[in-house]
Amino acid sequence: PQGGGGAVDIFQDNIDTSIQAPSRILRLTTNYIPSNAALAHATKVPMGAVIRPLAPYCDDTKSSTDEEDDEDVPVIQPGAAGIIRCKRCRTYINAFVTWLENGRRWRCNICAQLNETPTPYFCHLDESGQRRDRYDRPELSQACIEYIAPSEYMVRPPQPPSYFFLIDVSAVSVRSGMLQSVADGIARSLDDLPGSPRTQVGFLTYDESVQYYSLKSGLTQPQMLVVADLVELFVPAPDDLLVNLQESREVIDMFLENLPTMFEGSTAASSCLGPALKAAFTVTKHIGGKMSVFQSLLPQLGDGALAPRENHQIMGTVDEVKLLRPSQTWFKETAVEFSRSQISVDMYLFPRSYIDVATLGDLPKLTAGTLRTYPGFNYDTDGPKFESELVRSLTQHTAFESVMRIRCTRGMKITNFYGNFFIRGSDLLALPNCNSDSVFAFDFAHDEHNLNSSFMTIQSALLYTSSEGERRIRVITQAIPVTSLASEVINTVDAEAMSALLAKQALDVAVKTNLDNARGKLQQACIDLIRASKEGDKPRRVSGYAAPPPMGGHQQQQGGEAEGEKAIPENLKLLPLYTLATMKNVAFRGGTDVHPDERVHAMHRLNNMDVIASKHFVYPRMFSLHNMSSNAGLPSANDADDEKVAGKNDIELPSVLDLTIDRLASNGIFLLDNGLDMFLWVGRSSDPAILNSLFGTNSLEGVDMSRVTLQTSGNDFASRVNAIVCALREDDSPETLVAKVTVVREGDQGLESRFFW
Amino acid sequence: MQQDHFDVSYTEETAGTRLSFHCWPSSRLEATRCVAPMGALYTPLKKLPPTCAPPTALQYDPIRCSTATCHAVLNPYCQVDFRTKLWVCPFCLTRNHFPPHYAENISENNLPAELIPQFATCEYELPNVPPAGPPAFVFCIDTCAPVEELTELADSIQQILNLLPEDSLVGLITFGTNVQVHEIGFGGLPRRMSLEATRSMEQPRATTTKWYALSNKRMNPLDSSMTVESILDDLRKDPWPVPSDKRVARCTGCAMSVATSLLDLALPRSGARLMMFVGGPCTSGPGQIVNRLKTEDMRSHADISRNAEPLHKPACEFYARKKGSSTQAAANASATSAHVVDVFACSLDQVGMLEMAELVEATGGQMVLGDSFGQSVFKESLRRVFRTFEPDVPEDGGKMQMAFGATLEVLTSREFKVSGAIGPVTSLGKKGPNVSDLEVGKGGTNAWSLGGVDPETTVAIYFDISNPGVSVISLCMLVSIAYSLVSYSYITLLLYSILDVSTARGKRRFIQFLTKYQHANGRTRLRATTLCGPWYNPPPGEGEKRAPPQPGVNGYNGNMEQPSPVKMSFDQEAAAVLLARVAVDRTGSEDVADVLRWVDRSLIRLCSKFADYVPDDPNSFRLAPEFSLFPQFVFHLRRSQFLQLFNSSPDEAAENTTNSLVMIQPTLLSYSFNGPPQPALLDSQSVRPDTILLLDTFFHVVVFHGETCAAWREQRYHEQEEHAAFRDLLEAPQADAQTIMDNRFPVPRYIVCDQHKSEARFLMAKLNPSQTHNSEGGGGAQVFTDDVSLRVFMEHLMKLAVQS
Ligand SMILES: [Zn+2]
Ligand SMILES: [Zn+2]
Repeated sequence: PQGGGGAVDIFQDNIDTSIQAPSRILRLTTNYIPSNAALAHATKVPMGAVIRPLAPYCDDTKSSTDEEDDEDVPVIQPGAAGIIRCKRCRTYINAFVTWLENGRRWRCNICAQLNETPTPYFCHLDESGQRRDRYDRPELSQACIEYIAPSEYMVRPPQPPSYFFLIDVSAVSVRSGMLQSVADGIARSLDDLPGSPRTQVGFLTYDESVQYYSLKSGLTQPQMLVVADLVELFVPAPDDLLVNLQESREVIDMFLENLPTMFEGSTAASSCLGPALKAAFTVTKHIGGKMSVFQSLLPQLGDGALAPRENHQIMGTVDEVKLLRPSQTWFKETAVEFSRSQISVDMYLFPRSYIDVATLGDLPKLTAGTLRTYPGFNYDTDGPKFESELVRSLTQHTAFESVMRIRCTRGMKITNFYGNFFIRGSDLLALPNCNSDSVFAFDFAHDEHNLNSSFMTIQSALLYTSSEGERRIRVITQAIPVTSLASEVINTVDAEAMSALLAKQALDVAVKTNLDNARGKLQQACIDLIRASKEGDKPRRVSGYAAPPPMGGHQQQQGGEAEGEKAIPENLKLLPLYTLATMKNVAFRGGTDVHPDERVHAMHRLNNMDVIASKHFVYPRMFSLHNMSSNAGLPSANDADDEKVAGKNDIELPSVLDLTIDRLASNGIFLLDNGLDMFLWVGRSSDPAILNSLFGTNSLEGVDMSRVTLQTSGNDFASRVNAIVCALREDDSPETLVAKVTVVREGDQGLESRFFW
Repeated sequence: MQQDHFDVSYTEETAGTRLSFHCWPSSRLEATRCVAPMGALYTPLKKLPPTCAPPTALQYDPIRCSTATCHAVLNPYCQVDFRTKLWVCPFCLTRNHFPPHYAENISENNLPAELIPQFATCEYELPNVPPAGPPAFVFCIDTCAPVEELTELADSIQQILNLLPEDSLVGLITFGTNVQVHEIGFGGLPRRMSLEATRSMEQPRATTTKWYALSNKRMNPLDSSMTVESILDDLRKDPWPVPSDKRVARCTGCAMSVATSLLDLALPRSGARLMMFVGGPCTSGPGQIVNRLKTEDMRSHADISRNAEPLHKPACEFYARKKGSSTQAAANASATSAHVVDVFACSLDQVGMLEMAELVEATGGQMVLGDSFGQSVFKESLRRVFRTFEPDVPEDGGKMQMAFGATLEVLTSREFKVSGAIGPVTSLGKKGPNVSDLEVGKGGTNAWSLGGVDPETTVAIYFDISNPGVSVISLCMLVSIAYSLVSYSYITLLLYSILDVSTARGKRRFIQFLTKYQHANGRTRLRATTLCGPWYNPPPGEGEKRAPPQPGVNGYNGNMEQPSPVKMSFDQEAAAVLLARVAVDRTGSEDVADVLRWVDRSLIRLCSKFADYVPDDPNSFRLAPEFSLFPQFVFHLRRSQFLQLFNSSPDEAAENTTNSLVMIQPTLLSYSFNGPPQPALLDSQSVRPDTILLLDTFFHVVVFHGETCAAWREQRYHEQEEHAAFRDLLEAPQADAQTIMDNRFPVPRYIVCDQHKSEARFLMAKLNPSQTHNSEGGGGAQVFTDDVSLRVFMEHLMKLAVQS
C-alpha cells in the first residue's frame, strides 16, 4: 500500500489497538496524536506522558481472576537469535511492527527501516499479516515485557546490590531521636534488603570528622575508624567497610544496636557532609549501589560547605527564585561523578533551621535518588512515618546500574524529560537506581510537519541489573493513533495526566525564571486547552493562517460555561480545578510564608509523582469523619470503585468533600490527606463522645496539641478512623507507609494556617 | 680522702660517680700529659645507701647560692659560719645568708640534711613544681609484622599492662599502611582515628593537631582504663594487599609523628613513654628508609658513607626533628619534654634504628633489636623497662624505676671547666663561665637534657683543667696587675675569693651534679651530688718524662720510687670507659680507622707516661697495678663491635652507640669437672672439648659446650642418675647466665651453642686469636681472623711505649 514519491505513509495501520501499557506504568496526556504540527499548535494540547517503568503490579483487576498469569510483566529469555532489534535505530521488536514478505522481514515502527528476520526467529504470518506465534511471544503481543539480557548488554559483571548509609551524627541528630529512628529503620530493613545473599552493606557517620566502620565478619564487635583530615580523606581499610550483609550480619546488628547511644553527649555542632560523601564515594565507587544520606544540619565543613543564605527580604519577590536554585555547583558535580559510578543517593533531611534543600537536592535529583525532609524531626511524631519511608525505600524492588532510553516514531521527538536522572549524551537517562516508585515524565512534539503514519509509537527501554544479579531490559511500547481531527485529540485528553505533566513543566519554568511565570504558565495552558476544546473541529485554519476567533470568544476566558456556548468536554471538566489547586500548591503559591526548604521539597516531590499522587497532592482529599457512614473504615463488601475504597483490604472511605471552607463545620471532624501529610481538623463544638473515643478526652480546649495523640484502637470509632488512615497509605508495595496525622484544633492559628494551605 | 690509698669504688658507692683520676694534676699541661681523659662517669639516679644520702627525698626546696651565674646547691662542703648564719659557696666563693627558717635553728649540732658531712648527695622533691600526674605509655605497634609476631607482642604488652600502676595512662597506636590511634576507655564500640601516611613531613603532626582539637571531646586516646586488652585481642595484621614485588607499606615515621604530637598535645609536661614496636623498615611516608620496590636494596654502611643513599639523610632529619615540637629546629625543645621514645625492633631485616637513634638517644629511650617478638631478649627487655624498686626501698619501694624529663647540670670550681658529655644526652646550650672551648662529645654547654632515665643511666662528663698551673703567689701578682685596670670593689671581691681558695679551703676542686627529673610519681625531684677532690701540683721536673735517661739507677725512671698521687688515683676501668666513649663518639664524625689510630696512640702515650721502663728496652716495661688492665681494655675495645662495623648492619651499629658502655671486656668462665668455674683467658686456647664456657659480652651471653660435653648431652647422660655430676655441670653455666641477664639492660641475647656448630661463631669471634689459620698446633680451636692476639698487641705496645 505504499504510495509513490515524497512522504509516504510507510506504516501499517492494522495494528492491535487493544494492546495497551497498564496505566500504572504509562499514562499519556492525550490518546490521539495530531497528524501535523499545525493541528497540534491549534489544539494547544501539551503532548507527553508520565511513566513509572517499575510500577508494582496493581491488583485493581482482581475481580477478573483469569488474569492471574498476567500478574507481572512477562520475562523473556531470548532465543538463539538473541534480542531482535532494528538494525538502524536499535528499537526493540514489539507488538506494533509491520511484518512483510510473509514474515521474512519486518519494518521498524520507529524509523521505518526494513529489517531481515533472523532465521531462528522466523515465523509465518496469518491472514491478517500478523505472525502466527504472536501470542506465544509476549514481545509481539504485549506492551510491556522484560528481557533477560545476554552478556553484550554488560559493561561489567552485574554488581551485587549495595546499600551504603551516611549518617550525620552531630549533636542535633542525637537529640532529635533521628539517630534512633535511622538505626531502627535500617535494622528493620535488613531481613528484606533485596539481593540476598550477595547484598553488601556499609556505614559511615560524620560530624566534624568522618567515621568509618569496619564490619568484617568475625570481629567481636564493629570498629570505628575516625578520619581526622577533612581535606586529605582516605579510606582507612581496604575491604571491610562495605561488607556482605549475610556474613557480617552479627557485627552489623551490633553496630545498629550501638548507633543510637554511640554519640550520646556529643557536642558536635556541625557536620561535614561533603567530605563524608567523598569518603563514601571512595568506598562504594567500585560497585555503585544505593546510598542513603541522613542529614540534620546545613553542611558547613569541608567540600560542599554551604552558607546560610535564607533571606526573608526576598520572599515573595522575583528574587525568591534564587533560593530555589542551587547556591553552588559542588553537589551537582559530585552527583554527576556518583552517577558515573552507578551510585544513587537518597537524601533524608531533618532540618531544624534552613538547610538549603535547593542545593543539597541536586544530589538525589541527578543520581536518580529521592529526597525527603522531616522539618523539626521528633522521634515520637515523625519517627514512624520516616521509618516506614526508609524501610520502603530500602526494601522495594530496585534496579541497579540502569539506563533508560525513550524512542518515538520518526517525525516526532522527545523534547523534555522530568524526574530524577542525569542525561548522558542527548537522550540517555542515567539511573544508577530505578525503583518501583521512580517516576519520569516527558514531552514530545512534532519534529517534522506531517506524520506519515496512522500510529505513533513510543518505546522506553530500561536496561538494569536486578538485585539477583541478572541484567534485564524492561521494554514498554505503546502505539498511539494519529488523527487529523482536533476533537479526537481534545476529547481524549487525560485531565489527571495532563495536570500532572503541566505541574512538572511549571516546575521547570519556576526554577528557570520565577514563580510568577510558572503560575502564569499553568493558567495559560489551562485556558488554551479549554478554549481549544470549545472550538471543536471547525476548520479554523485557512492556508495555515488562524481564522478569527468565534464571536464572544474573548469572554469565554473568564466565563467558563457561558450561556449558549459549547460545554467543556467531560474529560476536561476537572482540569481548571486541578490547575487552580496546582497554583495554590506549596510548590507554586505566592506570598511570603513558604519556607524555601519546604517549597523546594514540595517541588522535588511533585516532580517525581505519578499521576494519582500528583492529583492528591495538589487537590487533597477531605473526609468528613464525624458523620461518616457505618461502613466507612471497614472492608468494603461490594466492588466499589477506586475512589471509594483504599488499601489492600478495600477499606471503605467516607465521602470526599469539596475543598471549600463552607464544608467545615464547628461540630465536625475532618481528615485532610494530600498523600504526604494528614491533618485532622477538629471543630470547636465537636461531639465530646467522638473526641473521647479519638483522643481520650472530652474536649481539646486548652490542651497542649503537641501531646495529643490519635487513639488507634479501643473503640469502634477510633479503630475505623485508624483503618482509614492506614488504608490511605496502603498501596501495592510490600512496605506500607505510616501516616503522620497532625491534629488541628479549630481556631488554632498556627496549625490552621497549614490546614488551609 | 686519702689520696695514697684511693679506693676507686668509693665514690661510686657513695656518690654514684667514678672518676678517671681522683687526684687531678693542677695544670692543663700536666693534665694533657696524663693522656687519659679527666672525667667522671655519673649515674644520677643510683640508689645510694642511707649512710651516703638521706634515705628519703627532702620535701623542701634546696638552698641555692645567690650568685646568678652559680646557683650551686648548699652542700656539706660549704663552709658555714654558725655565728653570722652565713655559708660560703665553694664554687663561686660567695657568702650567702641562710634564709630565716634555717638561720633560726641551725647550729653545729643541728644541721639540715644537706649539710650532714657524709650526705654528699641529697635529693629534693620540689614542693613548688605542680605534680605532673601519672606517667603515660603509648604503645605504637607495627601491624605489618606476621600474625604470630603480633600475637607474641600483644601477649607481652598485656603482661606489661598488669605491671603498670593503676593510675597510669595508656595509649595504643597501630600502623602499617596507615596510622590508627585507638580510643581507650570508651564503653561503646572500639574507635580508631585513622591518618593516612603521606609523603609530607609536617602533615601527620598538623592533622593530629587538627583532629585532637576537634575530637578530644569525643575520643580519648589516653586513659587509665584497661580496655586496651580487648583491642589487643582484636589486633589484626595490616589488611592492605601487598604486591609480590613490593615490601609492605609501613609508615613508621608517620606513626611516630602522630604519637609524639599526641603526647605533646595531651600531656605536654607529664612523663610519658612512646614505645615503638617495629617489625621492619619504614617504607612509606616520612622517615622512609627504603623503597617499597624490592628491587631496591636496603642501605649499607658503604652506601651511607658514599652518600649514595637518598633516603637516609631525610629520614635522619625527620626523626631527629621529632625530638621537640616542629617549631623548634634544634633538640632544645626536648629539654623540657618528658616524653621518652623507645624502639623495640624485631626483624630479620633492618628497621631503621640508625635513623631513629638520635631521637631515641635524645629522649633517653631504649633501643632493642631482636629477631622476633617471641624471643626472651625482647620480652625481658620490655619487662625491664618497667622495673620497680625493691619493696624495702624507703619511699620509692614498689614504684617504677623509670623517670622522665631529666636534665643534668654540672657546676665546677673555677680551676677547671666542662668540656662536654657523652651518653644519652642532648646539649641544652647553656653557656656558663665553666664551659670549656675544648669540646668533647656534646660540648659547649654545662647542662644537658637526658630525657628518660633510670637508676642505670650513666653519663660521662669530661673536664678541661683550665688552670695554667700557676701558684697562688703568681695569682696574687696577676691580681695586682689587674688592680690598676678594674674597679676597686671588683678586685677586692676577686682577691678575696682567691685567698679563700688558697687559705680557707686549701687546694680542693669541687664538682656539683644537679639532676632534675620527673619521678614516676609525677613529682619533680632535684638531686644534687657534690664531689670534692684534691689537686696535685707536681714538683718541677716530674712531668718531664722525656728527659734523658739517668744512667746508673737500675735503668728505671724516677717515678719508681715516688709514685705521683695522680698516678696512684687512676681508675683504669673508669678511664677505659671514658676513653671508649670518646672513641665511639668520634666514629660519628671520623673515619673508624682514624679513631682506631687515635686509640692506639693514646694507649701508647699513656703507657709511656705511667709505665716504668728503661727507654728503648721493651723488656723493662712494667705497669703498676692501677694500670695493668688498661691495655687489655683497649685491646678489647678495638675488637668490640663499637668500633668494628664489619659484619654488622648500620642498624646494629646504631643500637650499640645508644647504650651506655658499661662493659668493654668480655668475660669468659670455664666450667669443668675439675672444680668451681674458673675465669678463662679470652683466647681460643680456652676452648676444650670437655668444658663448658660462659661468655658475657654485654650484648650476648653465650653458653658454649665443648664437643665432648655436647655429645654427652645429646646422648642424654644428664638424665641418668649416675651422671648427676654431668647434669650439674650442664646446669651451672645456665644458672649463671640467667643471673647475668636478670641484672642487665638491655637484656643480652642468650645463645646456647655447641663447638663446631654455626652459632658457635658468637663465642669464637670474641676469642683472642692466639691461634689463627696462620699458626699451627695447640689444643685449642682455630679462630679465623686477621686480628692480632693480645700477646702480639702487648709486644707492639711495649716496643712503642718505651721508644724514646
Ligand atoms: Zn528502527
Ligand atoms: Zn656559688
